[in-house]
Amino acid sequence: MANKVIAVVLAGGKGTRLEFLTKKIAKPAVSFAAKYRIIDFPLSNCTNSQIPVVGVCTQYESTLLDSYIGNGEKWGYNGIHSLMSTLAPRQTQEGANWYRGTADAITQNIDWIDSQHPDVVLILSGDHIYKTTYDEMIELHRKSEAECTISVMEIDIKEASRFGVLQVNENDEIIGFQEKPREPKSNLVSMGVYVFNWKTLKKFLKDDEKDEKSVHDFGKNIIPNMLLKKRKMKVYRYKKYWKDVGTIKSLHEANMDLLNDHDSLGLFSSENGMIYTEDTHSVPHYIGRRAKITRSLVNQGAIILGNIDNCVVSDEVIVEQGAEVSRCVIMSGSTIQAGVKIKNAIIAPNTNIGDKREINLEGDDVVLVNH
Amino acid sequence: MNTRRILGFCDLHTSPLIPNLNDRRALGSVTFLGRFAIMDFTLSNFTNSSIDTVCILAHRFPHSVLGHIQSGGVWTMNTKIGFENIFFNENGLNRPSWNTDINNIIANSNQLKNVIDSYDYVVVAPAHYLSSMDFRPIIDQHIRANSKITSVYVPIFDGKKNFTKSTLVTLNNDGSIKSFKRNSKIKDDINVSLDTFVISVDVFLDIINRAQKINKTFNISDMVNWLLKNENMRIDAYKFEHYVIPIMSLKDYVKNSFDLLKYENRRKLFRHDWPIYTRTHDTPPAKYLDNANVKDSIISNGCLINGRVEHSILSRNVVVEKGAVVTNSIIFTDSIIYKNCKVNHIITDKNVSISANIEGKEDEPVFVKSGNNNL
Repeated sequence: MANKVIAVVLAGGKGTRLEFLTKKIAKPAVSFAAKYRIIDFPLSNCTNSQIPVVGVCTQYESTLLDSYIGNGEKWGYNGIHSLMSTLAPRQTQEGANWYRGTADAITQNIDWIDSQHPDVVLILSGDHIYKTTYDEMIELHRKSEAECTISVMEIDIKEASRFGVLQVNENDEIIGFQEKPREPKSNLVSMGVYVFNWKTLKKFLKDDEKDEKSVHDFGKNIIPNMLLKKRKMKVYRYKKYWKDVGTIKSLHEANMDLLNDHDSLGLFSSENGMIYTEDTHSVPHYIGRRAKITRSLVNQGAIILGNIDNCVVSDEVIVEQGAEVSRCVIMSGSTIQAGVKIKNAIIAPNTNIGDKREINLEGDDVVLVNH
Repeated sequence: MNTRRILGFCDLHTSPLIPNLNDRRALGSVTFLGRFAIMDFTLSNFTNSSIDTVCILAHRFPHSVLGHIQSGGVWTMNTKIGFENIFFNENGLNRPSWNTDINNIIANSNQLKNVIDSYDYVVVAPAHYLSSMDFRPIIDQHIRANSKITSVYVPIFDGKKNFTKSTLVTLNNDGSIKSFKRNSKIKDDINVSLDTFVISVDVFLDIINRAQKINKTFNISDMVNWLLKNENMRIDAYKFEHYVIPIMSLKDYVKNSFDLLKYENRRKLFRHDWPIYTRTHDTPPAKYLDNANVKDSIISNGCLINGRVEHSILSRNVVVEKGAVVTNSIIFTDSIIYKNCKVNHIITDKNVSISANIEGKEDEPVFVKSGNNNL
């Protein structure tokens, strides 16, 4: 079989912990870094890795996400031999099922994946912020002749219980796996980025489908089962910036990370390509005569007449003269009126804040403000 | 739905040549207000007026037009039904005086003949007048009055110093055009021709065919003038009463760019219901660092600012280093103002590195060319 890698992005999650932000839209479609949606990052990474075919599994509030992805043109997937396709759960001859877990989303699309004839499948999550190419990881996977390679980060072991934790031997082969353990045995955590030999994965998915006790999840079922069967599995050590933005706090934190002098995400670097997204047809942004703006990221279409410091400002935002905004993520179309003071907040799209309100000036915790 | 079929021509032949600004690219491809190309306005006016078949008549530097348009999908509503075509007359390179819009259309007429029959009206609009112009009411009037040619003009009130290189129109009592003439700068209240015409397709084909015999150096606008003068053809007029920006000189370019720092002017050019489309370059948002001090400026995506910027317009990916000062200036894409360099009243080409202080004058800004460090 010829070498062909395709990617499947898991983008069906609801993202309950993002509260109001995911009330009407799926988590991968939530705004990030003033201009992008979260899913732009894994999709642009696929573009920049020249992966020819990408499937995107959508489920929760899939309509908006499906139309956003369209034919993949925003990420260059309208070229010859390239394909981006959304894969929503559907009615088939076998019945109709929602995706019951991350693994089930792949199982229900085995036919589609087969039709693309890959030898290797890259499984990605639609809600992680990182900028990279998968080239090195795929190369490692092929060279080591592993059947599965998992991308891992070294983190503080105290933080590890929130993740899937991997133990490895001296050859970086995986010898143990704990899903969100109370007592982590290592500081290597899974990023939810997997490379599988398709033939192997297909077999495990089909077995998993028959297992009535399974929750059909990669972390809880597929990876432990492969370990049990002693399949060769490796880790790929990722050393660059990566963030799961599953909560209001972590979404805010990841936005604030962009404001450091050092461009740790690499958003401004053309190394590994750019991040691609939808254009808003806006006029470049305007900074007023009496405005003060420091340590901030501002997208086209914004009008800043007041004071902003440590802010991430999306398109068509208006900050009126006399408003003071600090450490805030202001999403598209919102207005901060004169006299308003606000600190440490995420301001949801199209929110109008007036009445000289003072919001969270003393608080260190991040608040979400919506209309 | 499409009871009237309209073909749009974005006519770059009538653009003035502005030294420095378009030495190496078509005026239509020159950056405007940080991210747009000058021709984006005319092309978007076609799109927003539901005119989906547009032909760009490139005069010079077709690569700069093609580079901006690419497949044209940005301005086309349906890429199967609509299209953006670019015509260029190779022969015009040898005989610049014959490099007219009419000869360009003739040179490419094998293609044109196939399509022209399927249209009822032709709209010809140049790139160098920027506005949010809805062509639909103009076409409505043209049809209602059973006109052959409708010429669009804008009344202005400062004709002694503005629109000085434009053509003026005078009107008959019945509202039709009496004459076209140059702006002699002696009157403030004048009617400026926007070199924009709606022409019924039979009249249009007649113009194209006859121009060869009458004068090979004639553009469409010259033929309209000739028909008015010599055959007394009725030319109807349409009064456009909205904001129009002329780009006929470097002075126009600078003054009108800075005028758009005022919100009320931006609102007149960029209407909420009338988006101006352009090609995206996937640049990240602009980033302001600790020492940024920016006032009264338009800043494009991709800029990295750690210095002072005031009353200026920065295009994409401009870097202003710590201690650098940019005032009253227009900086084009990918340029860098190095640490502690101060520039005042300058315009830079794309991709310019500034490593010295440069001081221009308000009425005489210094133009800094590419690959030119210290002037």
